[in-house]
Amino acid sequence: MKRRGWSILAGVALLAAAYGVTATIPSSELVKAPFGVRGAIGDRIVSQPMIVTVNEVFLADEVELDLWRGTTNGVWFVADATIAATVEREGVDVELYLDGVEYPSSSRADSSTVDGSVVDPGFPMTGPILIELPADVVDRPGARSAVLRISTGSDPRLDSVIELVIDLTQLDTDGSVELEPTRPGER
Amino acid sequence: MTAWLQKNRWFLIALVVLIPAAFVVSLIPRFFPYFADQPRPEAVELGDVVRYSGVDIQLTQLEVLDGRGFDAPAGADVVVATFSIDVIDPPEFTICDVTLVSDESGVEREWKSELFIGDYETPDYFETTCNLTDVGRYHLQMVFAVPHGEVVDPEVQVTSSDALPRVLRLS
Repeated sequence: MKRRGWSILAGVALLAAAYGVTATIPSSELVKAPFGVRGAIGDRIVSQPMIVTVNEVFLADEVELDLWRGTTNGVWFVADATIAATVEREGVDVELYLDGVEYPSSSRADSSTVDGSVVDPGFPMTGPILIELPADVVDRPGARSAVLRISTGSDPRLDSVIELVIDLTQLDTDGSVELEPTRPGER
Repeated sequence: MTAWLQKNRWFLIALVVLIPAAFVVSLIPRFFPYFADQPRPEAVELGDVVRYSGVDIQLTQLEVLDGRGFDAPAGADVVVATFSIDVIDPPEFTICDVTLVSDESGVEREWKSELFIGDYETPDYFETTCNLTDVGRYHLQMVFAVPHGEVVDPEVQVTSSDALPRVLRLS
């Protein structure tokens, strides 16, 4: 009788465990999530495909880049970054995540920004990254822990990506800023 | 305990066999095909002729030039690879890819060819893009920009999509 009791208990426990396993199966999005390599402003951050140093970040109401003048109803998130590939030619893709919302880097400045360009091993490129954000971004939830992600393409699944956590509320906001276009070498 | 082991020995032996077997079986659908598709480089000496994808390929010269003499981008040297190509029995369709490979920095890195680097001029006699589908013989010269002083003894990797996973490493 005692043995039967243990068998029933074991059966119930196994059923509960099976339910627990099925209920906690991670989503495909989580299973294929990129591997984030984190660092801070000024750090030389190395992921599997690229080496990145974000030299500075700030906010600006208006930016000038070559002959282009970037106006916005919101505010520009501006970063200056040095990026090189580690193994082979890579594209550069940048987004800012704020409270689950993705803000892609702007392509309005054409090819003068470092995002959207290609980089080769041993040939660092330095240039600006521009992301257009809502005017009230610093008051939004998550503004203290925005994540700047730099990766090799628009599909970062299972890829190694570089991430910096940035407190937008602590950034200086400039009026109009003239930026240096992307150029070879480090800053 | 000994009696318990004795009583269950066949079950325990089965576990020892079945657990590794289950692991191997789980690799069959994805890992083994992935592993089989990985490029398999074949070393070819400078000057040797090798039949690849129905084409006779010979690397005739491989030079690393100081980029400062050619107004190359800052910090770049110029690598010039010259081939003799004889397309004999080509596939109907293939994509040819030529890259420069070097592991001299401790990690294997590769560079794509460039159409122009500084004022280095490819003689008109040479083709500058790889074609493995039109029957005939031609001479090919490709140029690569590499970090100054970091690449001394590179290899050229030639890939024909039709012949994968076999790839050539010429040096």
